[in-house]
Amino acid sequence: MTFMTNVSGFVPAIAATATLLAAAPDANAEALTLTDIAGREVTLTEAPNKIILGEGRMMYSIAAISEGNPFEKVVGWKDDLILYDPDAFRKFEAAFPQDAERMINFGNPYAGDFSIEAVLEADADLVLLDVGNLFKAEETGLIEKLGKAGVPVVFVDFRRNATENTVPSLLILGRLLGEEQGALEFVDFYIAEMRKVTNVVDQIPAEERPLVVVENAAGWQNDFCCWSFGPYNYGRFVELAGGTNYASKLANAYSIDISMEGIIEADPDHIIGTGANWAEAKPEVTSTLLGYEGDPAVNAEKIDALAMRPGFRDLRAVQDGKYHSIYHQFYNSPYHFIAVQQIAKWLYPDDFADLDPQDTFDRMHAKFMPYDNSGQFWLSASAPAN
Amino acid sequence: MTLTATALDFAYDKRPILQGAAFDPLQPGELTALIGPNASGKSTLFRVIAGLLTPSAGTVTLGETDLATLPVRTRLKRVCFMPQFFVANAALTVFDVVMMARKNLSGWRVTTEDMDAVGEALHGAGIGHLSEAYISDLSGGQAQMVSVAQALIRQANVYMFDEPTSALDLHHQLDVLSRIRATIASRGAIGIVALHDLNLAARFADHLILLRQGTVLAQGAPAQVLHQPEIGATYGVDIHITTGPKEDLVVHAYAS
Amino acid sequence: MPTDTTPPLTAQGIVTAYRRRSGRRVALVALAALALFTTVVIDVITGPADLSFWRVAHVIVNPSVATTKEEVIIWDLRLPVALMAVVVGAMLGAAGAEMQTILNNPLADPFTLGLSSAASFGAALAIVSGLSVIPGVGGLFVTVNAFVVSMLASLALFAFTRLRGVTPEAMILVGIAMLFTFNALLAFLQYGASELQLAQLIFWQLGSLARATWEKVGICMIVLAVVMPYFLSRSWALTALRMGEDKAAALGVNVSLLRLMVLAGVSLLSAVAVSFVGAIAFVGLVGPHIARMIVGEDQRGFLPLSALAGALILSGTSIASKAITPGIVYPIGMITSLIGIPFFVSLILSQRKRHWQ
Repeated sequence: MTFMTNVSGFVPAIAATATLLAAAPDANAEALTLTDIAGREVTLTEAPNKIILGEGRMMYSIAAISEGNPFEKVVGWKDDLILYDPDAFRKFEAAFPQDAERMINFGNPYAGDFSIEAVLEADADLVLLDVGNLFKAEETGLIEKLGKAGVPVVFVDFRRNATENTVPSLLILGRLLGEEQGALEFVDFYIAEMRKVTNVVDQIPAEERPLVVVENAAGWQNDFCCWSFGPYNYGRFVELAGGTNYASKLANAYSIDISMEGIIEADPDHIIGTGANWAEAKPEVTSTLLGYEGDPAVNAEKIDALAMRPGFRDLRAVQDGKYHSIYHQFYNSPYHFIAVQQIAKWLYPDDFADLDPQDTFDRMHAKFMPYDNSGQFWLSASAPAN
Repeated sequence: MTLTATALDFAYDKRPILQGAAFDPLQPGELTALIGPNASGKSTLFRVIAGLLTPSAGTVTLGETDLATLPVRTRLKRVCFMPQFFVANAALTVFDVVMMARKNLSGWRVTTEDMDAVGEALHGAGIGHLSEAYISDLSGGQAQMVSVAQALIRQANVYMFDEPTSALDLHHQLDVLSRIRATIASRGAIGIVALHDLNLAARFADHLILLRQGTVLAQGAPAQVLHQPEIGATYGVDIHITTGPKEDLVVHAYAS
Repeated sequence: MPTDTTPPLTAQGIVTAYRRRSGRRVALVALAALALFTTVVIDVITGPADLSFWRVAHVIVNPSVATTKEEVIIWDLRLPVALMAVVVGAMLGAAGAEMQTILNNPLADPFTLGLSSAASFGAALAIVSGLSVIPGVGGLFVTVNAFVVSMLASLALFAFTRLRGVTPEAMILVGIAMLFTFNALLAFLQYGASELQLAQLIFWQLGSLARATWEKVGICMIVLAVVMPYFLSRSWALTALRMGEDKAAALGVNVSLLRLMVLAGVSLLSAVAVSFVGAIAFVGLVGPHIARMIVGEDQRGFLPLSALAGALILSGTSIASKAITPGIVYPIGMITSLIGIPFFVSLILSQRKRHWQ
């Protein structure tokens, strides 16, 4: 697998979608036809304004591209935003209390079935689903039944092939919501910030790239090691940031269970674990609690504790202070360019001395988000005093 | 010491099986045949004597001891009961199961004495050639002979056999019963055998007990009991008794 | 009519044949133990890190010569996993052997009776809904939940036998009812789980040795050291049980009490095993069958060999799971099934004796 072609993989995708966009007439009052991320051609007889989100976390994107109230055209969602990113939910709630209140709750996004009745009851005219649900939606006849009832389904992807599909997904959302302008602006921002990393990193040959182990949800379970990513999602972020992802060499899978011994043997240069505010739903987690309400003092303790776990504490990466923690929800969000920037900064501190991901994130909020940045989204463990 | 039972009652789910069953003292060294039609309560009587079932009334006395006063294990050491024939299908050899009976649940180690005793028992019973065969591979008759061997290898005061010859051919029927009789006599133990075949009962038993619907109708020497009209009435047949070439009683039965 | 090649005609001949078979039985058990030792050694030297046999032996004998990396790999990672495989395999093998004995059923093992589904459900309760049956146990509460719910399931089995009698049929029926009930409840919980919780649940349903620690190995050893001697002390009674209830009762065996006591022992063994390594099916079923085919059902040989067979199976699969792709952890239950089933089928086909008809 060559890094070069994949790094630039999303550019042709953007080009294709942009052409489609350019070719389409002004969408607001007329029918629109588009190709969604699952490759399905979907026709909407009119612009939707009662949308149901198959994942509450789609609000990350909608808020970023929307000019005014991002909830304007949304009537309901599944409750993952509330359960798994309560910090972000509270931001939305504080900014738009009545809208957050009126959102119809369609349950847990992982619990498969969508209640078609509830969708029709809500008088919805569009259902947005994550592409991971495609198979199930087809199998259960969800798409067909909703189609019969005149409710179209459009698939987007911010998770599985995050880096390839984020831009097309944003553009699709822009068309659907009538926020093409906002979408294009955000896409410009995204590309520009990604390029700050890839332009530098593209030049670095494979042999010189540091070895990185990614630990998905570090601290979610006790005495367990480890869930990791193959060349997808966070594994891909590491690759785009100029690192060699350890688990990519083991298998070409989204999620891979790796052994502690393998990690010790591989002797990685960096270890990056993800963390989020899971403590509300699951009090016994020992992960870092990153997010809008992340407390640096609390997280500093937590990351040091994670780094001192048996097996980890003797690793060279930990001894050198190269044990990091980063916000888990970037894995399902269009803001993952921040993750790529921060990872690049960890891997190549000198090359990216001028890069300031915190500033990037602040600027992003100022320009695109209906609320301010706050909290903590990444940190590194302190090098143990020997 | 003698074995006596008085006024035994036993009911299963309100259905009376034994009603005032009692017999006069059985003498040591003597073999008694328990006869009676199907469902007369023979198996239940055996179980009550062995202590596996508790009667609602009545006592069983061995010598001076009321058996009910003994703990179950002790009682079963003194009263050996061989249940009706049942094919077990375990991966155990004939030697194993006879050894198990000899050990009678005590002691983990198998000693040389134990092994010799089992070897002698199997040889004496004429099933030595089956010693290493799995019991699941035996024919019905062979399994029954193993069962008898399991009973006789134990040292007890009372031996009860529930139909020990039902699956055996003629030769082995005679062989098993004569061996049981000889063992009982030599050990001075009390033996009770439940039998369907009145001829076998007449030939081998010193004493007969006729059980019908849970009550003892007749007991005594075979010649005496077999001549009583209760026999014919109980079995629903016409009985005629003659004497065979070796001074043994022969029972002729005719459907009435 | 079965015959031996040279029928022993004298009493001494009979005894000699028995002695020979007993000697063979002891030799086979010793051979199994030796095989187990071998697999453990191979297990300890297998792994993504490149450590030679001599280096590993040296580190074990003289821990002070190890580098930190070697120390962590050998003492904290490989040894606990290898020993856990042995101990859990033995627990499952012994539990399966006694289950099959008291229930007179070749398909019985703790899993058929729903005890491991109960444990999985207890774990799922902890993982998905955060409900702890015993409050305040902290990070261990998934394990504790699994154990407690499994024991509660056994108690339910006990209670039912009080009502309906301690017969194999009653116990099997209740066990199967529980198996299906807990599986259904488990599916219900999965329905509402997030992707991380689902990933965690997979461990429970497919099992993994990778979370072994010295403490867990120690606890399992203690449980085994308490329950096995009890089972062995009841060897003759349990062997008698296989002759039929009547025969056993006539020998003085309190059949109901024996069944309940053994059920208690089996419950403890399987609850502890499953709460530490998840639901590893098949070991408790196949181990005893292998033992039975080799040494028959005299409990003095059958029980130890069942435990050894179980340990061998799990130790072998531990090696296999590490060898597939070095660095990736595979759920062990998946492999025991994949390897075990064809092996088991071939054993059955090669056997002439049928012990369950």
